[in-house]
Amino acid sequence: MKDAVKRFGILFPIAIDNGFTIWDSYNTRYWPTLLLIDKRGVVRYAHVGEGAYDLTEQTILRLLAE
Amino acid sequence: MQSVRRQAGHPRAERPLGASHHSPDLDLNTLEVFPVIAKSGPLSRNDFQRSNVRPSEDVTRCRPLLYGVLLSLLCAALVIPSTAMADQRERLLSLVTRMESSYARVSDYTAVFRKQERVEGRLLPEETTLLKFQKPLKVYMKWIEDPSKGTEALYVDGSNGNKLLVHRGGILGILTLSLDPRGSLAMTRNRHPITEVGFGYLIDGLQRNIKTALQHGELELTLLAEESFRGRFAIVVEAKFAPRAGRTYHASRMVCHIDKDLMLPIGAAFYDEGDVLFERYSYSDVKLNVGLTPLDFSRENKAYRF
Repeated sequence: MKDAVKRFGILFPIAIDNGFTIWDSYNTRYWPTLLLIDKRGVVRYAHVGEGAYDLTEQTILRLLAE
Repeated sequence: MQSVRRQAGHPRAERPLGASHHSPDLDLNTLEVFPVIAKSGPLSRNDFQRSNVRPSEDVTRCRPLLYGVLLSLLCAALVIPSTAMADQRERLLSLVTRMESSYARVSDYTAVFRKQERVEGRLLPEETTLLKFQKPLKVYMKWIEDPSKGTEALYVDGSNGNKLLVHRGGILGILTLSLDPRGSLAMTRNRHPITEVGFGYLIDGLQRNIKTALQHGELELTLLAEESFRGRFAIVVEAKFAPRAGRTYHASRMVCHIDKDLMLPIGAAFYDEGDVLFERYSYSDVKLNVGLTPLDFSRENKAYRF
């Protein structure tokens, strides 16, 4: 994992979920599943599967501006 | 077809009379009748030397008749093959139309679908899947032989966010992926997305390529044989495409097996400009209009692992 993080230049924190604890706690069923959680800890956006990149980007910007 | 024996050195090679590459010694405008040559071994140029003897008066009188006979033979040589070729072309074109008609009567089907594709220059191993298909575009596939045995894929146009659901066989199948059917992950080791699986896309492609190539005189269609193919009696058709003026076709050469009873393309192999195979597909154990239900294309089906 450390090698991959270095190789891709990833700067944000990454959680290791080998026991599927986080996966199950959000009732995740498919990979990839994207959840956006606001500063109050509320899930504001969910997208299952690839795609919708523009919508995701717009939502991130909107939530950051709140 | 009438033919002219070539010069010495190629005693067995024959060439159609009137072909553009006729020997410079043979001028069709001044063609004379040579005596029948009885000789063992290869013929030489000397065997075709014009005689210095003046033709007899009988021969001179008969010359118009001889020209007439020769002209008739020449016309027959040119017309009969072109008529036969036109007949064969019409017959082959009618096969495409009949395949379209046959498929129009199909609402769903199951089959064992095999595919082998060349991706990034490498011919990958053949994959064998159980295929369920329902019009307009519902696809379930289960890989039933190694190397991907146990893998399942489901795509239902208009459902599941228009995503391809797929999970690998074995322990890797613990995760179900929800992928863009045309995205980079789904297209890994594939030349075509799952949305292009099935008889319909294949027939559409054949029809489109063949009609365009015919329209521009860039197609050579040949009925190769009728033979057994994966347990079915099939008509084998070969299509060679010779694009000009920047047009492109899916393949340079294509060999298609058409099931004689079902009138559906149960086999298709595609070759590139170097005549190297780059795609091969086949369908066996085909069952048409079996009455597949929504459960056959549901991720909630308990028999599936999505």
